[in-house]
Amino acid sequence: MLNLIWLIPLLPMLGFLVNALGVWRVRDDAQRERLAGYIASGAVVLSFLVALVAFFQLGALPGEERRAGVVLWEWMGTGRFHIPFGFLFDPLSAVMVLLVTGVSSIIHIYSIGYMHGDSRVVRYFAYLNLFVAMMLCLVMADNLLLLFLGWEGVGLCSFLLIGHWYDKKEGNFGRGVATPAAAKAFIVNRIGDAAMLLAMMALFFQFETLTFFHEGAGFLETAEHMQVSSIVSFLLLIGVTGKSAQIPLFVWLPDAMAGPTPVSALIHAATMVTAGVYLIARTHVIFTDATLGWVTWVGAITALLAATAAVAQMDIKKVLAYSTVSQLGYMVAAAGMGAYAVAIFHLLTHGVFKALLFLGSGSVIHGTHETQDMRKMGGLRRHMPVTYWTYLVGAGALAGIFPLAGFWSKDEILAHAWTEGQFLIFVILVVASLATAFYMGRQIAMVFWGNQRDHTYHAHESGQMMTIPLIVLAVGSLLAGAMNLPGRHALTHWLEPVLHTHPHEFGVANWVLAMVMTLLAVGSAFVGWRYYTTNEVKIDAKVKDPLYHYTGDLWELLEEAWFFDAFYEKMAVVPGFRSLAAFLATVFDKEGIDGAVNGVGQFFTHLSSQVRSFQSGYMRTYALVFLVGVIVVVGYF
Amino acid sequence: MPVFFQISDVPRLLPELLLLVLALLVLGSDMFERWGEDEESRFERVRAAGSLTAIGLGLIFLITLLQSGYVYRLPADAPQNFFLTIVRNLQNGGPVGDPVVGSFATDHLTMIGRLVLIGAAFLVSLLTLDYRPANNPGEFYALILLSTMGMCLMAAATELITAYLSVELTSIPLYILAGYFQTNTRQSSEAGMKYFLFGALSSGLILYGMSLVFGFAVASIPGGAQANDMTQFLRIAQATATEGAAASKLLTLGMLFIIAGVGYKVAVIPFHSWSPDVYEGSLTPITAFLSTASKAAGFLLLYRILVTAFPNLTGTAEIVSGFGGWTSLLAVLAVATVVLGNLAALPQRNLKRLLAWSSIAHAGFVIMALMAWASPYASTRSMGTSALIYYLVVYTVTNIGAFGALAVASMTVGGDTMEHLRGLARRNLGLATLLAIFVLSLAGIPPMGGFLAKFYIFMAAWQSGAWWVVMTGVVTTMIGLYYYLLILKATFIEEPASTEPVPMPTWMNATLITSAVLVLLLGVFPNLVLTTIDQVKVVAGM
Amino acid sequence: MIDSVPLEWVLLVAAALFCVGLYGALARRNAIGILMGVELMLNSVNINLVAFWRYLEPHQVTGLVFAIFIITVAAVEAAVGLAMIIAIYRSWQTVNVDAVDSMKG
Repeated sequence: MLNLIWLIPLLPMLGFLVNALGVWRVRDDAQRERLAGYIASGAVVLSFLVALVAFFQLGALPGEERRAGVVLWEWMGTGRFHIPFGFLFDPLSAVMVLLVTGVSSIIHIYSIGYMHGDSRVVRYFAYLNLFVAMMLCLVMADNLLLLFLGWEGVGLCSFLLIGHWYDKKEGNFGRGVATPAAAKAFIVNRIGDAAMLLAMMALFFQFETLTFFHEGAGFLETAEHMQVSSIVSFLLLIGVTGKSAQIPLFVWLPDAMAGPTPVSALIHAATMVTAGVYLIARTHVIFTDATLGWVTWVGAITALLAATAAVAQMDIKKVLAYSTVSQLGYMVAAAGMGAYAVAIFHLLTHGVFKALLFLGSGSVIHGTHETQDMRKMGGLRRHMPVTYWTYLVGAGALAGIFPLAGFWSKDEILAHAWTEGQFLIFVILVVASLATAFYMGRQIAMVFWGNQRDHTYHAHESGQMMTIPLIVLAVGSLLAGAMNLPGRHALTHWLEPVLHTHPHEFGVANWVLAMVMTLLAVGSAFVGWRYYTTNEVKIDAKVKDPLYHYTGDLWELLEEAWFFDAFYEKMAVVPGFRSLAAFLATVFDKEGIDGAVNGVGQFFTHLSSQVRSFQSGYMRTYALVFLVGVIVVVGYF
Repeated sequence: MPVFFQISDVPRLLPELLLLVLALLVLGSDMFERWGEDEESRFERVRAAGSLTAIGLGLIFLITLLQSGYVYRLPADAPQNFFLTIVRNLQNGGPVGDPVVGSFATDHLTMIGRLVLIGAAFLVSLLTLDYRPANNPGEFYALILLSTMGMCLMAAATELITAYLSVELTSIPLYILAGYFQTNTRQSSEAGMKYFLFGALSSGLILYGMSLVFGFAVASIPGGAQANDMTQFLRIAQATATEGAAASKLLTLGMLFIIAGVGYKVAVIPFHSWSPDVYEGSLTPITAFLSTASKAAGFLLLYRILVTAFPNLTGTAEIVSGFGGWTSLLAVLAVATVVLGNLAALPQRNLKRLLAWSSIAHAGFVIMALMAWASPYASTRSMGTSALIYYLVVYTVTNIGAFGALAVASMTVGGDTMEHLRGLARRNLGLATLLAIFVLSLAGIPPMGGFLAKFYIFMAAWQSGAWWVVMTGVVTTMIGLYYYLLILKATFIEEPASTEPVPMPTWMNATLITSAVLVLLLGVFPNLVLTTIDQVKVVAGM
Repeated sequence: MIDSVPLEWVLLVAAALFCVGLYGALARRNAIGILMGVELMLNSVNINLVAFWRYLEPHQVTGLVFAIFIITVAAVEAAVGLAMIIAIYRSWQTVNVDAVDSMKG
């Protein structure tokens, strides 16, 4: 089976092609919808099975030989420049592939229920399949260029899927309008991608190859005995901040929630956004100490800021979005401290429980007829028991409560910060985890407890197609911690050939830390839950949050996620127009200005109008430009 | 040593000769047939001339492909029979030997150039098949063919007079074509005039440069007065290698004038100003031809002149160690071109104009490939060569597709602006998807060919130390993405003005699908052409 | 006779002519005027070539042949150009290039 690993990304790709070229021609609506769903899900499930078999075969090999590679064809080969189109299946790829295919299978099945009756369902499943194929290409690539292909591909699919409901002029709540959000996600991501491109150039300049492993000649192998410039890893870090939604490029992820909820679960929680963490782990050899310091701080600060921002959100999905940003911050911080295996561990558990939470929120949204504002919910635990209980498991896992999955992985990150002596980082992460427990308590209270505050809808439990995936994921969230239990460290040992990290000694201090952290998390979650259940009468869409009473204007700071968006808007717009106050006014008056993207757009539009003024239509102006060009060219020497 | 034309050289010029014959055939068959005056027979007349051109170009393309031996090479021990002898004779005229009478090289560069240019002309002639009837279609197609012939000669020229004549042979038919049939005669005649006047101006410049370079070569080579081959690029290179050549103002001035003149042909800033207006005013398939084949030919000529005639004046592209030579000049032009070109494209609402500015920006990317000559290493330089040619191939296919899709849209929807294209996806999903493929390729999104082409060029430029040029390139690619996304947004996301389905003319459809498949193939299996392109470095300038 | 007029002088005359032609091409509004300017530029090139031939390689023909080609092509160009100007006049009723500005931006 190890020779057939190319089947893993190929199957979803075939699913995409069949849906895109064939299924949409089916005339009957119901039949078309069913066919699209089954084909897409079938392709991903098959791919999961192949991955599973390959995984066990890989496990049967002795530790140091666990690396299977298949080169399908030489992608680009000319002169010194050789890039294979090849896939790599080693312990790191294997766990990523299992996560991606596993979670995708569940989400595909869930989507069959969730997207029932949607008019563009074929397109939805086609894009979803394409996404899975691209994501698998990303995690299985055996060179950086192919990884970049997947990296761009998932970005494109994310763009297409966020914009799925493009005809929704207004989001349910907040600013989540599909089209600008999609464009914003794409463009912000491209800033990171540009850095990635430059990193590849610099890497090739030094190593003359972009292949990871190639019988000792891959750049990850030679880099071990070479001094690599910090610029390369720093550029990669910028790429990571784009894709994995870290400061300063995280602004796109909360807006990306305009897409369908299963998409948020798959792309914006479990898989695509973790690509950055995967990239750091994969290329950790070339990260210098200087860059790793940056990585740690970027991760830790993101974790804290996003966790606090999540406290002040009213949209059920926005809470989860900021929570995702924050958890990604944990992973990046862990990677920055050199604990790559722990980062991957948290990535895996987070993939499971965050998918669960998103699907749960999708079930809530579905059951309340497209309500996303938590202030309009309340008391749903009576109407949707399965969703409630599974959501509780997910929330507990996220908050880090023993013995759920999140507890084990988050605790390891904290323990690592502690033993590495990074006390400031440790404190930041602890505060962030308190905020995490608090906002989950708050969310549970607002959504499921108390009484229903808005009676315009009749809440009901979702169908089996949606609840069964929830239960599966809930079981996963219960058990996922087992893969890297302290003492055994199965995952760390499994990843050791790739990541070269060794498990920490497990001492008394860890026990103390674990117990303290659980107590703190439970306490914090309880406070959040208690506060919002007792103050339930004050929750109203027309007035401020009950907590506003204590925090004052700080609340707005949190609500707007520390004003990053507004800052970009200003930064991008102001320098160009300071002299043109009137123009500024028209810019801000314009309808639908959306954060940095339009700001940047306006800025460049202004610049380009300067360029255009030379293009006056008059022949003689052109001739003059031509002549000035010649004179400049001649005078240049 | 005098070199004479021999009869065995005829097969080496076969593609050009065939193009000439085809042009005369198209012209004659149109002229000597008696055509009716009603709408039906006018349409018939266009179809007759158009399909003859298309079939002929297709055949010439295949013959050239066979002659080049890239796809199939006759083994030495193949049996002797009628057909195989023909093939053998054809392939004997393949990419081998010294330039014919010192003026036309028939090397790999020429061969690949011919394939690209004839291929482009073929696709363009297919695009025109579904167009409304023209007056005198025979002339129209003959002009396309003659221009193509000029382009092939541009790619092959190794001597100043030939280079100049081929530039004129390319340009003069294009001036007429730019002003050719349009319902809006005001616009098309304006386009034709602007194109012509600039062309005339630039041929003045290019000639002045050539005369200076020629004078310098005659004066500086010992015994130059006794030789009659002083206009050959190799002799000029010899002259530039003499002592004090680098300091000679005469030589540098000549070279700069030549660069400026060819810069007009490929539309790099600041020699670009004619192009948006001409592109907008011309018939869309002709715009496609102008922006691809004519540009590609210009780049091939620029490449050959710079690399074979001025290899000793390359200079460096590093910003710190000081400027000098043509690479540093081109670096500045490239930066100006990508920045201004992309900026000017941003606010365009007319898609033809938008694509015109985007073609200008792309010319800047191609120029970056020539940065590789700033490096003294042969391997980097050959990387630059393959990157340049690969980019030209991908860009030609992509841009023909993009303009072709636009031609279909404007023909069936009634206009070229964003407003006209709104909601195209819901009126004709296939057309919108094809347009999306081309636009994404232009934007440089993998796995389209455009991505690898850009990546490869950046790679080559970076290797030569021109990292600041590459940085600009990468950043402006981001700006470019914005307006390409605007096209996708208009077609896929916005509400259509009417829900009436848009029909898809047969031949245009075929052209677009061919181009789209090629764009994808070039992105996923670039080695199909890269291995061929790699052979170029063996001859040109090394 | 040759020795009495150095090559540089001839080149200077050609350069001056080139500049006059360029100025004409840029400053005239009449399309025909621009065309005439361009012709002057081409003639300066011819003077250059013929001078190089006469002074540097009087026993060869390269410069002469080049000049003859240029004269021929210039005639072709003028023919096409005049036809184009007539086309402009038909649809715009003017040959003033500043008035022909329907496309810009």
